[in-house]
Amino acid sequence: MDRFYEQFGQRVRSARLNLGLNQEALGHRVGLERSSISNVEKGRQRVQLHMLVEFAAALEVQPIQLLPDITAAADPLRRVPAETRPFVRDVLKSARAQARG
Amino acid sequence: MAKRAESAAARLLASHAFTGPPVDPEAIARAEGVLVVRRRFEDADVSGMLFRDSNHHIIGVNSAHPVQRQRFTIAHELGHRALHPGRELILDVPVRVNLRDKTSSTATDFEEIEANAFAAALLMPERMIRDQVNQLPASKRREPDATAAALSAIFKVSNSALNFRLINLGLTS
Repeated sequence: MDRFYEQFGQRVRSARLNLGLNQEALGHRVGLERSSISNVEKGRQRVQLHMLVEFAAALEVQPIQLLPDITAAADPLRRVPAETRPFVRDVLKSARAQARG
Repeated sequence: MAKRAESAAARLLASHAFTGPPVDPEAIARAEGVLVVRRRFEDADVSGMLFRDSNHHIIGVNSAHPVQRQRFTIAHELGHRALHPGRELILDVPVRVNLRDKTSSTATDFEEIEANAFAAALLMPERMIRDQVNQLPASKRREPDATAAALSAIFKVSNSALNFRLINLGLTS
């Protein structure tokens, strides 16, 4: 669960930076103090559901874009179509070889 | 949404001292510390992928596709990287540009559209497009097809990507 809020916080942070807003400006838009924004972005403060909508509107994204996908299987390969997995495996294998070389 | 992609692409471009056109998305990726890996794959329709873990950012490109498409794919994956934190693996099937008919609106659809907007803005920055259009001889500028052909060669993008960009910038109809 901590991970969920950390990832939510990362998405908020990234969306905020994309708009070129500082934490204070975002706080102003959603009615929170700068320190709360900082805590939300670090996953230390758990926002309420209606605040998700506030954050999305303030950040000009859809609410779903801020939500981490916690149903994701541990192995990301399982989330892509089976017929595409050889490509993914090949790329990752080649990348590892390049990283070592 | 397009505005967010547009400004993120402009920011990425500005942080690298590249001249252009053409913009080199692979050089930008490398300068950002992203590993670009080309692999030929013909068993399924895949244009590319972005993989991120705590140590590596990897862009995979299907080298079976034409070079212009590979450039667009790299730019598209850079868009996911800049705009869509969180997902460890993003796999991209070829671009389906049919926004008007879109009835579904999953997060994935939004992200694909946004990454495409980012790629277009990165490979065809508005200022560069306007400069190049102004430099075209008047005879070419009057002909939409000739304009698109000339510019797509300069920007190393497909004709359709270039046309779409001109429409979005209000430079043709």
